[in-house]
Amino acid sequence: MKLGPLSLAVLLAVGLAGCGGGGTGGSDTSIEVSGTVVWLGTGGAPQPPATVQIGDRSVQTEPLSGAFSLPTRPGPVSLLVVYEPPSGSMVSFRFELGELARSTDVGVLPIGRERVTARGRVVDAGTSQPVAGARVRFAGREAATSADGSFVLVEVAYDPDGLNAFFGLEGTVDASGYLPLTFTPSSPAVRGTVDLGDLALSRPGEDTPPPVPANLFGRILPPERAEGTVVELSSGESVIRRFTVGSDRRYGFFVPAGTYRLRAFHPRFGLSAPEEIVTLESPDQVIARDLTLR
Amino acid sequence: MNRPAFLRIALLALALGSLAGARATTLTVEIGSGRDRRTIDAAVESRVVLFARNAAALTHAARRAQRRSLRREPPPFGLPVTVLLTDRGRIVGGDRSSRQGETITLAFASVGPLAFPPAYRGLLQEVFEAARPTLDALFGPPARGGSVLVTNFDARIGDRDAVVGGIYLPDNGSGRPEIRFPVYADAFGFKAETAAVNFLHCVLLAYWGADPIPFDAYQEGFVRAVTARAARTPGALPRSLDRSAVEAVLEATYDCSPYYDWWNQRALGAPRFIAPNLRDLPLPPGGSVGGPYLARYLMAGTAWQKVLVEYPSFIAEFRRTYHRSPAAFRSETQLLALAESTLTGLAGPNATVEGQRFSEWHARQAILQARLVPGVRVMNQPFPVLDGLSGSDFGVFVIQTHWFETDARGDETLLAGRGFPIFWDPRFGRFSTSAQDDRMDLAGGYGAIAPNFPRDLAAGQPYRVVVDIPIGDRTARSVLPAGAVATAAQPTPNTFFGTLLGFPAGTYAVNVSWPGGSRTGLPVTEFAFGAAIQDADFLRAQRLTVTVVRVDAGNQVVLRRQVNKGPGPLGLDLRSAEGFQASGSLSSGLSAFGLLAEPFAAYAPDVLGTTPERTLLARWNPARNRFDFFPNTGSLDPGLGFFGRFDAPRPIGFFGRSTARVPVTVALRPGWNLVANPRSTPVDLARLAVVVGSAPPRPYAELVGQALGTEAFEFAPGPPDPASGLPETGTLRPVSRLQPGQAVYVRVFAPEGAALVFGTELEGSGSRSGGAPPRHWRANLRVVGAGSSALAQFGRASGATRGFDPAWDAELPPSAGGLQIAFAGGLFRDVRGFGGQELFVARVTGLVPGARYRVRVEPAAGHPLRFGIRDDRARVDLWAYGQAEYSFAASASEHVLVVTSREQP
Repeated sequence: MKLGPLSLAVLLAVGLAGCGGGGTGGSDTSIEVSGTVVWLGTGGAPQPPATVQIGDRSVQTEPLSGAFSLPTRPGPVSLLVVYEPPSGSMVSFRFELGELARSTDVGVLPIGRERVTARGRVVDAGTSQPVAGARVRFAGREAATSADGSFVLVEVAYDPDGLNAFFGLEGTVDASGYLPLTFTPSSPAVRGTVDLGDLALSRPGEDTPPPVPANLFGRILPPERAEGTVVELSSGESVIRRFTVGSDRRYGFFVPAGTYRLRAFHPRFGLSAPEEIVTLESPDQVIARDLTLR
Repeated sequence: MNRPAFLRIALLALALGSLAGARATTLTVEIGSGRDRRTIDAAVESRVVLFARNAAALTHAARRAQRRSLRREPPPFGLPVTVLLTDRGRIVGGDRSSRQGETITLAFASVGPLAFPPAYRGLLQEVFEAARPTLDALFGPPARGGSVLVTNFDARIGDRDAVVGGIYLPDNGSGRPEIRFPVYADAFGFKAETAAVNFLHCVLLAYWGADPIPFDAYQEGFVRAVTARAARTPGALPRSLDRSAVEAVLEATYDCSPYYDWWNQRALGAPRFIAPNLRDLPLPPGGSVGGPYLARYLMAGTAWQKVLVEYPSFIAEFRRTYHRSPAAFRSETQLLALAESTLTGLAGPNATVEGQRFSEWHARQAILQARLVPGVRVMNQPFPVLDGLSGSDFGVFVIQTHWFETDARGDETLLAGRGFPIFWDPRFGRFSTSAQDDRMDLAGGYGAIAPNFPRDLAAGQPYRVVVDIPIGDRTARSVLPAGAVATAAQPTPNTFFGTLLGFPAGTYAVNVSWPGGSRTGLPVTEFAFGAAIQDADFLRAQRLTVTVVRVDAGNQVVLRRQVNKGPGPLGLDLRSAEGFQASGSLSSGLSAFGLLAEPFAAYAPDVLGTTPERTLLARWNPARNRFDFFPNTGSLDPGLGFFGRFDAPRPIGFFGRSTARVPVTVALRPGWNLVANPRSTPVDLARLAVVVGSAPPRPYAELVGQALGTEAFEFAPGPPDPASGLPETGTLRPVSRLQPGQAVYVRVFAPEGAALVFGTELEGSGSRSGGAPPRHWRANLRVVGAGSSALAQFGRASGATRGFDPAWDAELPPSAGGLQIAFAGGLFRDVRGFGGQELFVARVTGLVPGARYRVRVEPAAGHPLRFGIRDDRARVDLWAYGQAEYSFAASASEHVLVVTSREQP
């Protein structure tokens, strides 16, 4: 049954006491590396416990939670998790944690029967342009995006029988000038690769709210003649909308499904665009149609 | 929000052209003009195995959770299904006209691999013979009589808990109807009860014949309701069967009566219970995804069982008319009209179900809303944990959440993401249980938590917990009675339990009466109640009358509700304004609006009174950075904002639930969100509460510039369009005060999103409903060891500060030189105000190095909420509710620990 707070506290205390090192090694340690190992096959703590090793020190994961805590020296840290599941062969995963200067909780370190490559792309949510140099962290792996926004994470733990646990793994994206993003995978591996898709970052300073809705819209070209253009929308013989283009050089209509005639003219410059027939098949269809004045 | 692979699967399905028609769960197999039996059998087997495998995968997570509510090991899962053979799209089989009045006879294959073991065949024959009179009475005669071949069909689907549940072929390719049925068995022999129930189901499919209703709400619901009722009818199953094992089969896939109120949520409704894309194409490996699929089957059976409680022959009479001309009943409207006329035929023009006219009753049953409603949907499926309660278990529930998106074709995408559950106490203050319940990860459309709502919150009495799961831009809400079903101290479950919502503070009691008896004055504590009514009469399926009385107002009846319950216990979600008739008007031209109440209908044109083709609705989707247009705008939930465009001022009136006395939680995504004031009075945006992640609610104004953008924007309609004469565009301008129903854009920076909470009407005027006393609590921090002990107190109180408050704080008594605890500032008692996080740094002095000490935190007054303890030297960093305990070995005479308390304002 569920553990009450008291029993949880006692277990935690016992568990922590039971985790207190077990290896041998130097005494010049000053920081702690802690985290939680998750076996993707079950989505829970490795049973029996896994062994976590940093340098010449090792510790067993806590049986209930998979948590571990291991002392080490400041500097580059390489962590090895070794696990022998009740069925199947032993697995080992090495995680390069980078340069650690202080005690660090590395979060969830998943291990699984298989290893896959995870790929994706980081883009700007507003422009859909790639974001280079973003840091992507997922499943204990880390990569920076290249100029086209793409990234590749290798040696990612995976288990086709533990997809629920895998889909629950959370990754993060950080990039200068953007709000941090969290994500979870949503596709299983196909031929050894998990596609994380496009991860869209937002800028904190984008304070312009979205426009009003339009399902038939477009730009007026050429841009220097756009402002002041009148765009008329007709249904049958009747003009049902008349839009005067502003400095954004765009027009937009929010209309039901149907067939319409679209006509644009500039009363001051004496220019007009060829009439266009547009058909909205359903109310959720969106048509973008640029009009060029001549 | 991430877009899982299922979307791609749906697109693939389109590309392959493999989507079935609108035939609900009924499967079709195209055999062309060929009549080779082996080829047909292989095609049928391939089709049903895929269906069974997908159904097993789509219900796997829910069935795994369900194990915690069933009283015994669940039976193998299987969905009996009708398979229609088609020849270039036309159903194979000559004359399908109804010949009601004839009977069905079963012809069992007697030799070869299609024959059953003799004992098993005997069981099936016995089941059929025993049940036939009951089936005839409840379901009406078969659409067509004659001999039905029954053969042994044992196809493996690669899931040890699930099987192909049975197949009915109106024409097996050789002109003959056939039931193909598995041998339900395990290492100990036949699973006779599972076989009996599923065989009844298959026989009912044979009764129905080749013209199933195109909506699962009716087709599956009718068959399940009659299967369950027949299986429970004395004498309708062989006496040798174990009744409790039969009941376990029904509870697994046919009947969820005890929790019907809790699961009755708008996201359930769909024309097909399993979306075509999820049904017809192999799901990704792993076999464990979520979605509301099991709940849909259970709810459909239960909904129609409610009707059978009052009108046992309703389905029989419905079918009598339907089978005369199935083609006349192909739309929801036609079917609803047939149901209404059937009821009128049975009980006259004033006939009611559960005390309501049929159309009203039907509107409230979410599962019966067969209309396709595209958009993102989220629903909760909670149930109480009844077995294995121990220790501090008081209100343990499993709360499953399904999050999915339906497209215009009915295909469903199972979404993945993260929600941060919010638990509201009876006065709508947020509280927490344990860290693992602070967040819910959803994958494959499914997530679950199992909170234990603590005893201390209402001094050991039952209390109401409102659970909100905001995820994406939708919020699923459940109202649960903590401590009212089963607790560790009272492990025998109550049989009657529930909650009150939307009632002002007061003293209430619940009365319940049934044909054989009544119980009155069942106490309501903190808007929850629970009672053990063991009267066998009460536990039967029957009509109940439930009344809620206001004890402190002369036992005034404030709610009366008729309930058609199933057998066993009953949980109720009693709302004060269930049948609210909302009315109002929307401006002509382009406007931005939201609703002031929650409509029962999920389909926007049903609420707005528009035709689908003239419905112009749009809602900004920050996850996709574009507008979603109707029909993809989803249901019109209160608190959500929409742009609408109408040719003329639009009067609207709809039937639903008032939210006037109930806070409304609106899920916000990162980016721009269009929200609307669901209150009937203006509200200041700055005063609204905002919840970010698992943090306590904070005023909107405090989070501006951090989790929230600096400005909110309202839509101001522009001048009339010269052609239409109506405002067709407009501008956005900053706003700080929201008028009733006004929609505004708010910006969220928090990457995990946030939840905006519109409080009650009374809170808006500055006081709480019922005049709750000033809030405060205190807790003891006690250290015991080496033959001595010390105590200090910390707490929170309305009006207290971080400084020294004479009304609350106390300085440390003069030291006697022994063990002592002091909070920063030398305080014995340190009480701070509500709102945000407070750190209480405790210094323990006078320790004996080497000695072992026990640290204990326990309530002293009021009800402390969740707190954390960090003790670096003891390597303790935990969050607990109410109390916690740990020990450490003193390494020096001084020791420091930090208690963290987070509270809402």
